[in-house]
Amino acid sequence: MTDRLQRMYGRIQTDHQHIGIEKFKIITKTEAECAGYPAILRRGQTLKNVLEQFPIFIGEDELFVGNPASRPWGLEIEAGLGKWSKEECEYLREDGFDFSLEDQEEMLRINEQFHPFGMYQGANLIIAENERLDIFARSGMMLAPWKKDKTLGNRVGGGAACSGLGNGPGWTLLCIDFAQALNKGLEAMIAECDEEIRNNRYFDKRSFERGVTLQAMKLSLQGLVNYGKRFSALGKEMAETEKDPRRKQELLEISEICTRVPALPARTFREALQCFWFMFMMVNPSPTPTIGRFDQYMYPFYRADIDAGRITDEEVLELLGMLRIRCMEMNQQSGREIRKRTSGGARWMNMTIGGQKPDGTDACNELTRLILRAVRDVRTPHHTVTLRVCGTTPEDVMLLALTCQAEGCSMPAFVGDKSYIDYFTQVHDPNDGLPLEVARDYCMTGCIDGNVPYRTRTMGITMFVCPLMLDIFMNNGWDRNIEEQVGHPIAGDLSKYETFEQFMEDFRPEYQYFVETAAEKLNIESAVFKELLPDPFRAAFMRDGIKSGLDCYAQEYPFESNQLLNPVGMVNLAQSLFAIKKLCFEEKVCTLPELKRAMDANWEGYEDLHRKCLDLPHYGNNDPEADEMVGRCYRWWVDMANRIPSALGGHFRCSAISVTSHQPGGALCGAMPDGRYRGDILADACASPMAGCDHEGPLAVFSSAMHIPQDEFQAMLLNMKFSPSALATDRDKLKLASAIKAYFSAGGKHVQFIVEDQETLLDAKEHPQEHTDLMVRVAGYSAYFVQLTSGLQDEVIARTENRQVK
Amino acid sequence: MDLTAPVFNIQSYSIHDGPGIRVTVFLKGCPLRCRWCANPESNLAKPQLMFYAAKCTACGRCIDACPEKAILPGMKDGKPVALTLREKCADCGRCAEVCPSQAREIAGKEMTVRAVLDQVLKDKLFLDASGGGITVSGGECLAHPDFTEALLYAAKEAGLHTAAESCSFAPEAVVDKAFRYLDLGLLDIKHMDSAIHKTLTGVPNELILSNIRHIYHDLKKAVTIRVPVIPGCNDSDENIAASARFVKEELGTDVGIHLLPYHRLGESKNESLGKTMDLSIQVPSEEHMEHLKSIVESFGLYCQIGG
Repeated sequence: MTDRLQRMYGRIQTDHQHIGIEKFKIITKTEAECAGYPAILRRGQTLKNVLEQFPIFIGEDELFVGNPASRPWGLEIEAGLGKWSKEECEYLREDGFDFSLEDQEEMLRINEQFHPFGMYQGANLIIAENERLDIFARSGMMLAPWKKDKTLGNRVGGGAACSGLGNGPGWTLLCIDFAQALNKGLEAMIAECDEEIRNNRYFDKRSFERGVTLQAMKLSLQGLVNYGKRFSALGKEMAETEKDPRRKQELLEISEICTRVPALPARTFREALQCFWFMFMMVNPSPTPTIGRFDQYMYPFYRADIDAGRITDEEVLELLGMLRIRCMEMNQQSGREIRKRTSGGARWMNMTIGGQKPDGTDACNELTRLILRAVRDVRTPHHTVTLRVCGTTPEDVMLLALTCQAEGCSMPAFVGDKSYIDYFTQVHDPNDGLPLEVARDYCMTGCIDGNVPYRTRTMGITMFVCPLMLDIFMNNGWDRNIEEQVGHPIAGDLSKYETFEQFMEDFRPEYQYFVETAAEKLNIESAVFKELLPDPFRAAFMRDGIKSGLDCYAQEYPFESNQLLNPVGMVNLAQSLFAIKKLCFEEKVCTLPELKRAMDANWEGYEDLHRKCLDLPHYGNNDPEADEMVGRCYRWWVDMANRIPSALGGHFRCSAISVTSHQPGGALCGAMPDGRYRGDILADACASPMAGCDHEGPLAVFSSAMHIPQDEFQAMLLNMKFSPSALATDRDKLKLASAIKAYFSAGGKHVQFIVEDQETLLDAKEHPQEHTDLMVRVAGYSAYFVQLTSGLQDEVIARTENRQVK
Repeated sequence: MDLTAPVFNIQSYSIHDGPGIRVTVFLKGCPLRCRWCANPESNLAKPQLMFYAAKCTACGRCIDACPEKAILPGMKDGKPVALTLREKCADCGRCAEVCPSQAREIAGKEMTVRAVLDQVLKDKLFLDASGGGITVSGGECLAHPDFTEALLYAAKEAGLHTAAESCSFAPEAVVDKAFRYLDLGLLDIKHMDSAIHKTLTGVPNELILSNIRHIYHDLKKAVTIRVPVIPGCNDSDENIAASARFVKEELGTDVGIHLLPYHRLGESKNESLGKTMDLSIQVPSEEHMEHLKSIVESFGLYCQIGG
């Protein structure tokens, strides 16, 4: 790290964040002024006003500028996503946030007149009036559980506070076309808007929609151009009074760069990076602001600068390190319930590197390697990096990536080109299947959800607690948490089942009912988004965005993955079914009603039976029978999801990430036949074995995971834990690299490692103050270990560690 | 394929036992008794009871199950446990079958070549991708020459690279048989002085050194020499230099040396077998290992720390 980066790194703030209301004031004022306008026009005007009025500053040592909050390391109250109650404001202060009482009073005062109608209100409009959906929402099978009080506009958590200048809440998985901004400049895009506005003829049913959307796009683009100009002026002004001649020079450079971008095409790496940062602030706030294939779209600028002698690798490395530190400024907080769910400040700023170019040749370049060096240099959990791996990924890149892992950087994640590309090229119906060269350009959006930049996008995703289905099914449709009938009274007297397949025949329609109901709820939520929360800025940077003149919710794309059904704890469900099959029907160790009694007793008094459940072969040990049950459950999921129509076009698709939902999900489930106790955490990720249940080493885990039809999933998360002894030498790393490549060649989608000694993790739990910088991978994102909830810390500790003796 | 041998572990993802990723098959039974042995359960060919007192909940089920009446309630480290009287124990394993907390297990079971190979081949995708294969270890594979020959033959037929970790202590004819289908020998030299070798391991080293020469020169097998570095036993500069000199002068400069630092991971295993470990032996420092490596390298030989 350079001295400059050392200083900036020292200023990183992860707690006691300031909460501001500057953006909130601008937005609520604009919303009031534009009341009655079409949503997209209101949102466009909001963006413009924020960009022109939001306080700006240039932080010490910064070489590219743009502040995502009104104060350093701050958050801004988000207007579009629920209101903050007084109670939640107090929780914020209790939890260490810096939120002045004065600002709180002003916000609450504005709230009295300002009645935003957000996603939850919109969804509640339907759900509160539909008993079936209402009970389902409250069951929490689709996290988080809704509160019973229907009169509350906001039935989940509190409001939100975020950094970033774009339209919130940004719950989308998509990668905008950064290259267009870099190569074309925003003024050219504004001119395109003008042309489309001129050419729009008012005959067809969407012409009005196009007319206003184009105006909204133009407002947002113009706003960002003006934002750049404000920094140009500020840089110049600050340079005039700056005493340090070096900093003075830097400020003048910043000013010059901001005169150029984002209005005009970038010419140098510095200009391109500045333009990127402006753009990136516009896709924040979002829990999933995607960076995309940075080593590809930034490479021409890097190459040109290096060739012309304008920049050195060390200078680029410093800028990349600075980007890591500045990404730590992008934060998102919500009500206390959601804060608990997304432990450790969960967010997914994913930069994708490596893989193949659209023509199939290897995409790794010098920038790929410099990005990995920056990961080693600047230890921050954000932004995260994902390395695409294909057959030709160079050995030195694999080695560098695994060195990052071995040193405890908890990144990059590894994803396999083959399975991702197969996902996008597969054909389920006539509208499916992207051309190979397009599919090859995919990147990570969110944690490891693949999307092809600006060509495909995901607008809704469930966190669906799978074992709860079995829990409710075995209780005859009764949900013991909310004490209501969520499912159907099918199972009845469990002694009636004579074979396992009879049991499964009854369970499958209930499984299908729950999956479909989750899809309905998601369809409602996405429709509300489409209606209320369009985003003209993102829309302008989608494929044919300006040409189509449609918002990204409104436009249909060649490959629709707009909504995802995402199972949590599928491994627990499958293992539970496997236990029922073996113990109740094959080995006849106990009857199904007996097993049910043991579950109801949370295994108390049934220790022998509990032992027998645990002693069964578990998924993750390359036991074909146990693995096949996991495969079967996932295939059911795929078969059902692919047949459900999506409200945004096409059909539902599947993803498999757990985020941190395996904890709150587990809290909803009773004791299960897999041997879990009531309320215990579920298996992490979605291809990972239950923590501590894999005993046969990493290759067995890989082999087990191959039983899952991974090509059908937009993501399939697999976390593994290695002791540093297994990655001590370059020889060790290259052997793991070959195992990773083999897994991917056989259809594996993703793998991610934690490389820490058990002792270190245990010590960090006990003495958090001594391990403030210890980073671990939770489920697709990196976080400071000491910031995780205690339950998640225990889960990470309990994961099986793969050791090696020299 | 129906030949059997006592196997106490089949270790997937072994990355320090030959090139690439390997599956290492540990056979039970060894003619040597090295003072530092990390796999004490491999000494005897017969199955053996291992008891982990820390996991025992003193539930007493094993006491009822034991046909020899060899288990009694007792105390260990201040907590009540079920203790086995080793002299009465027949290693039958009934106690392990009923133990609810996995505090008791039997090390070693007879497996056929077919069964071993089937398990190894589960990882074939990864073995092939990494240029790895199968490694037979122990115990000592030369204690089971027919089985080793058959297993390595079957592995080669299945397209696997074959390696064996061996102490090379067996009649030459046994070596010839066991290693017929071997690609790579990972051969130990524990001490160059025969008398000291006998003190440390229970046997002299003449036969070992002559077998190593035979495997390399006559059987024309690729060979890597492994020296476990045991502080106070064989880690003197002189002994390491003598080992390197042997390799250089009596084998060839294409033979590399792996210096394997002593570790204590066998400690709990020793305890579980009712044995005590020589705790006076310290783990060598990294600097010391680097120093010894430089000695080997001064002979113009390839040397690495660790397997």
